[in-house]
Amino acid sequence: MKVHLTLFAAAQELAGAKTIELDFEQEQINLHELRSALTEKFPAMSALAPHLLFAAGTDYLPPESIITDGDQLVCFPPVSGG
Amino acid sequence: MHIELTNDVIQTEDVYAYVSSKDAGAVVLFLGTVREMTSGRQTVALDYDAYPEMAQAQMQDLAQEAIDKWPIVNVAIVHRLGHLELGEISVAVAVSTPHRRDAFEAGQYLIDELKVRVPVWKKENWSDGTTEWVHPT
Repeated sequence: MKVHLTLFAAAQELAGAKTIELDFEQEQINLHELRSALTEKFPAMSALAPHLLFAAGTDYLPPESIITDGDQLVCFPPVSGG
Repeated sequence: MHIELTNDVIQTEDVYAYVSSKDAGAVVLFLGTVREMTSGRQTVALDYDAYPEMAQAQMQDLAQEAIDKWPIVNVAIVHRLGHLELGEISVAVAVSTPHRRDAFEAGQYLIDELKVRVPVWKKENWSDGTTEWVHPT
């Protein structure tokens, strides 16, 4: 299955791309597996990976979320506005 | 409710005007500004980036939560994006309420929650010429 990610801020810089696509052999994954896949593909992201936040549209994904084929997600570091 | 992301200089008079009302006995206006020194390092400027659609939606949700918790007459949140020099205003939160205690509490709630929830990121431009994304971990 494929998962599409739009990246922001440091996540975008470390991946060197605004949007990426990840392939999985499983039919569904959890956020922990998504973090692992990101670290594997982008070793520079390993320090940030445990802290990354995920959203679908304009809502945060709960930690227990299950991700399936074709999901379009947003991924970014802890926010630092204000 | 007035919620805005802007690349322009934040005009405090405008932010005040959004919440000003004869029904209010108190207005609290909080301004976040660009600080020069952080843990002994010198900043020359900040760059703010955002996921704008979600930032707008999250700020609206926050304002609604505050309206549900306190007797708010009106509320405004304006966040600046782009390149900011030292001392410039990066964020403005304004709340008007009948009495001052509620305005202080709601204002504190809004800025505290904004800083953990609204997808905006700042990049430090340090005085040694390096740049660095700020992401609290």
